[in-house]
Amino acid sequence: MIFLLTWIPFVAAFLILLTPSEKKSALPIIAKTACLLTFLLTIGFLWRFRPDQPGYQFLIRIEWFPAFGIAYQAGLDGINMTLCLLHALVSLAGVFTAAREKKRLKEYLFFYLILVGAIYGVFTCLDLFFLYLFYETTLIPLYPMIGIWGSKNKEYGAMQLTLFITAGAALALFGILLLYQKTGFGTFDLIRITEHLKNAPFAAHDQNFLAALILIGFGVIASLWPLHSWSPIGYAAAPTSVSMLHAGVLKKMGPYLILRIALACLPAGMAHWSTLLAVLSGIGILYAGYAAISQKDLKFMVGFSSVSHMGYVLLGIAAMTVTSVSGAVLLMFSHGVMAAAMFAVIGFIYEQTHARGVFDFGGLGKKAPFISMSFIMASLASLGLPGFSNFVAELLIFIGSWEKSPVLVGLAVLGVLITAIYLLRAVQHVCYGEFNPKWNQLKDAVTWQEKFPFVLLLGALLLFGFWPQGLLRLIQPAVGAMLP
Amino acid sequence: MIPIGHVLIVSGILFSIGLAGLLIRRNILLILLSIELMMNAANLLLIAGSALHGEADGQITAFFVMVIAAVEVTVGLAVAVLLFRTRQTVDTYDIKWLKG
Amino acid sequence: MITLSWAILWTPFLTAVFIFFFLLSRPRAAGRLATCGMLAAFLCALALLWDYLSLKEARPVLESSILWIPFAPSPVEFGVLIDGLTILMLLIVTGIGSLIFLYSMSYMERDESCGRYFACLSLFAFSMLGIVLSNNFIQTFIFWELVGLSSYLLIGFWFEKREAATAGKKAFLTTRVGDVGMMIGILSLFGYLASRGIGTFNFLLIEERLQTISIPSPLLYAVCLGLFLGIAGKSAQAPLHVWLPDAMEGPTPVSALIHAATMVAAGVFLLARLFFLFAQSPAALLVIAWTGGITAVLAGTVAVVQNDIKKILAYSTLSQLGYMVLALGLGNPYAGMFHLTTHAFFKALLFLSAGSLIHALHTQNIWNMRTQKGLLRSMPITSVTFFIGTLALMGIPPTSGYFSKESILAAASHGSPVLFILALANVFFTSFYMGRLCTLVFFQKSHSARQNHLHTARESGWKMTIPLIILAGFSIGGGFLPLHPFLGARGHSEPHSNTLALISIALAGLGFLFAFLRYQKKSHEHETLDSWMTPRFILEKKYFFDDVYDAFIHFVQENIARVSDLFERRVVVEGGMNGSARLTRRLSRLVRTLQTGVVQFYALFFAAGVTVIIYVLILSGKS
Repeated sequence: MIFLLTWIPFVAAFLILLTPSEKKSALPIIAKTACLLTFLLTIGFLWRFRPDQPGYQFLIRIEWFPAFGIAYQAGLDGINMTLCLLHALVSLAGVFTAAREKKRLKEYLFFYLILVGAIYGVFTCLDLFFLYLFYETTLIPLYPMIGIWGSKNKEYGAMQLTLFITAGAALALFGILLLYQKTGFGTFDLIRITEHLKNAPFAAHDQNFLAALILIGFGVIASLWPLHSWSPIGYAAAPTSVSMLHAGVLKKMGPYLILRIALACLPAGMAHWSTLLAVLSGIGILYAGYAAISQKDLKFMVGFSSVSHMGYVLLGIAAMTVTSVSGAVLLMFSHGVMAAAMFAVIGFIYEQTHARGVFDFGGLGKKAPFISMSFIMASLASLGLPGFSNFVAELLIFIGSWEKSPVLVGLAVLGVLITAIYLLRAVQHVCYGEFNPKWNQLKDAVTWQEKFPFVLLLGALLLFGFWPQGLLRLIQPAVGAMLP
Repeated sequence: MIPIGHVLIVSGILFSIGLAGLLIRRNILLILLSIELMMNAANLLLIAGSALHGEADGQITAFFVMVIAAVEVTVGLAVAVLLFRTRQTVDTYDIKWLKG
Repeated sequence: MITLSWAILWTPFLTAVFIFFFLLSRPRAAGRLATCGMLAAFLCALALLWDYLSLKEARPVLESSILWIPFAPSPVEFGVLIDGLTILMLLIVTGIGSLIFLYSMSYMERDESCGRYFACLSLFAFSMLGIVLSNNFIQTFIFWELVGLSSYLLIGFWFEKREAATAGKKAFLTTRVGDVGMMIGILSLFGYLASRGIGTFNFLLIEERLQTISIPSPLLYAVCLGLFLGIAGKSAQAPLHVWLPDAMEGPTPVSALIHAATMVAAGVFLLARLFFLFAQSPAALLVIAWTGGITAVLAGTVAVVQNDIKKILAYSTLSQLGYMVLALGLGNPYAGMFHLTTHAFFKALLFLSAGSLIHALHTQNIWNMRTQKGLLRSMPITSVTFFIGTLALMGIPPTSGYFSKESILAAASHGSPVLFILALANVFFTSFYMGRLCTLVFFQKSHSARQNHLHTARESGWKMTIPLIILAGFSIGGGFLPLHPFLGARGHSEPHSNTLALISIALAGLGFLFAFLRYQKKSHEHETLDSWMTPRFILEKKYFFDDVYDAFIHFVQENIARVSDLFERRVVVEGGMNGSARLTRRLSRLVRTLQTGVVQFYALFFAAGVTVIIYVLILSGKS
């Protein structure tokens, strides 16, 4: 059943290819149905998930290439259940924005659905080969999506994003293959490899080398400083739904894969690099925060903001305690939803005005109250206001990491202040003040189709802000099982 | 019986002449000719080998090589003729359009 | 009793949510619902008081909580802690809150977005009650931030005004600086306790465990300073006081509730709640006392040159908060909380009657508030209540303010002499600026025709005057309230000293007299001479705090941000990414030279390669 998560979007993409592009109304329906189906399926899995049961649930295994030990194996534990939920929310919210694309809707939706399906593949697969396969598959549609449907500097942005992430992926592939070769079983089965390495770990220098490869390779997409620059440029150039998906979900693949592969299989290696990782994350938090302050373009600002927040996630992972890693996973979820909401707001305004400078607007609170409120709520979530799940996540990271490195946590807390500075400044210039008469035709989100993404995303943040246990009861056992 | 060493030397000389011609000559037709020469040198060696071991394998292979040579010359000459028709030259130093 | 306390906490939240979803377009209904909600909470608080007083133990303490984030090593809980301090604060918040909600219904009736106003105000009530009822650090922090949010939303309520939006942002960011310190304090404390195996956030548990283990003093000092930074932010102590005067951009009832009676008092409340921790670090207490004392005098002197009635009251609040913090710093939480209670009454009163004046006279500038007939005749209730508030603020017996100020001055007299002198000096300044205000507003009659429209100043409606009267009653009688059952555990009132009382009354009287004499005939303030660094200039510039902060933001923060941005654009993007692209292009150009296009060139390489391979094969064959 779990393979349906990946294959429903693929089938829908195929259906879209077969639909003639004149049938403008049929295309969004197919896409939205597919995303809705996967969303409902994920909720179904969430409902049937038993947190007290150890190991992976809903496991399936289909042998594909037994000579090399490659099988299509997929399953859910607390961590990827949370991330699948994240993806379900963001892809459903994003498809509403994607369906409003004006030119070449058919091709765009085709790529969008391939992307959605591949991301489900990354999150659910427990076989290293397929994991990597789907990881690369997520990269492929991004290139045309940004390069064709993007905005200013789109070719440059597309190229940067793709090349950078691919370079990281190549390094990670090297690590994965080395891992495959060193375990000696001749299998890519991640469950078996993890089990084996728990009892018989590699020698220290092997672990250090492998862990470094995985960290750098997947650190690129996790926007680890200094490998983060593709992020603001790529997001600014990308169309709205791509930014939503990328900042929301794709970035989280980085830390997720670090957790799955490096932390579970190579704990000594991770411990060796943890100080460096923590320091780099700390630098990333402050650096990106300060850089965000000087941005004049809203999308660049949010791009740097996402680099900053990923710093918190990586800091949590570096500390390697149950609390901090749980906080990191929760922050992955929260930040993903929040970033998607932010980009949705900015995209909504951009669609109508083709402007997205911080100082271009003013007084939108009066003219477009729903959008302004969404923007304010997303900003408040981002700066860690209690009531949203981001606060709980950041709190857990702080508590969990304090014993390892109080100085870095202190700097991270300072980062919260910096986030408040640029976000509130943006809110003030966009939503408050006098209305800029240049944008008289700006319309608020009126129909339920326009409002639904925001309600969905912000509602999820509020729900888990008040009831963090809803997700933590899934995450904690899984993290506890993963750490030594 | 001619000693195999003599045949080797003749074959080697023929091959080297062919190779030198290939590398030095500028006319495509002469390059094709040099390639023919190299193939004949190889043929010679194959037949000598067959005579040495008393088995027919070498001679059969020599037949194969002759057929291939014929085919190759056909195609090569056709290409050369077309080349001359379109570009009016058969000088390899001028045929540089696939330069990187 | 526990159920009552949960009811008190969640009622305002429910009204806020209900208004947000259904009543935003029906402001009157929203107002009515919100006020009823607050009244219900107040009644519950009274019921709670009754129940509490009928308990048999002396000074009981009750607690109940649910697990919010259960994880080892320490679960984060969500609970209520009920002791005398809690009940006192509950009564203050819900009681004064209800009065202000009632008042707002009349004050804001002409504003169409007052549905949003009442939603935010209810949210604020919820957050404040959360701080009061909280039983652990994390919950306090959560509601601390939420109170900051409500304040932000309410200060910037009229968001089309640029100054209001900026003031809201300034408030939020300044208190956030404090919150950073507070979070670090909380984390340090927890970290230390966890390292000793007893990690917890719960106040009662920590208090109990501190009796067996002791925290090394440098760490304790740091923890206390961190926590105090948060308190200083919320209670607007120097140097984090700069947001409070700007916060007057918000509607006046907001200033009354949030920036006089409750939110700013939250810091003092937390100091009292955590006094067991602070008491163990005399160094921290010293810092606290000095901060309080300096803030008191700083604000008192700046108030002397303000022309906006709300700003004067704002600086007055800062000054009185300084007194409260001073009292706590001197080790007397009883005095501090007593003053908090009385101050809540008379400052709310002052703000509300100021609001009544502003509502009727359409101006906030004290130089423009004179009327021909005198306000005493046209707006009697407002004027009288304003006077009562002023007397309480100045500390004239038998008002409540007198008793609470006495206890603080008595505590100060046992402490450092400099602080004592500062405290006494502030008594003088307080009376002076209030005297100035009263003289200009009430005791002058205008003779000029340009103030014609002010002739029709009328008393405000009952929704505004009833709260004034009630608050005035408490301002007078509040001093006689028995606070011992509530605060007894936290210190005691100082023995009464007659000489001190006479000195303070004399100072107050002198201050008022001087102001009266000076301003009785004045019709405008002198122009400031161009010479700078005169005392007047320094005061008008509010001791340059705002200028220093602005300079810091412009020169330090913006430049750090610019460095980051430049580094990003020049080094990482230009140098790293584009640079690697350029390098690749150059390398490829180099390699391209091998592709000459001449077929013999390739054949040469081919032949050479074959030769090498054959050579290697022969060589390896030989060996």
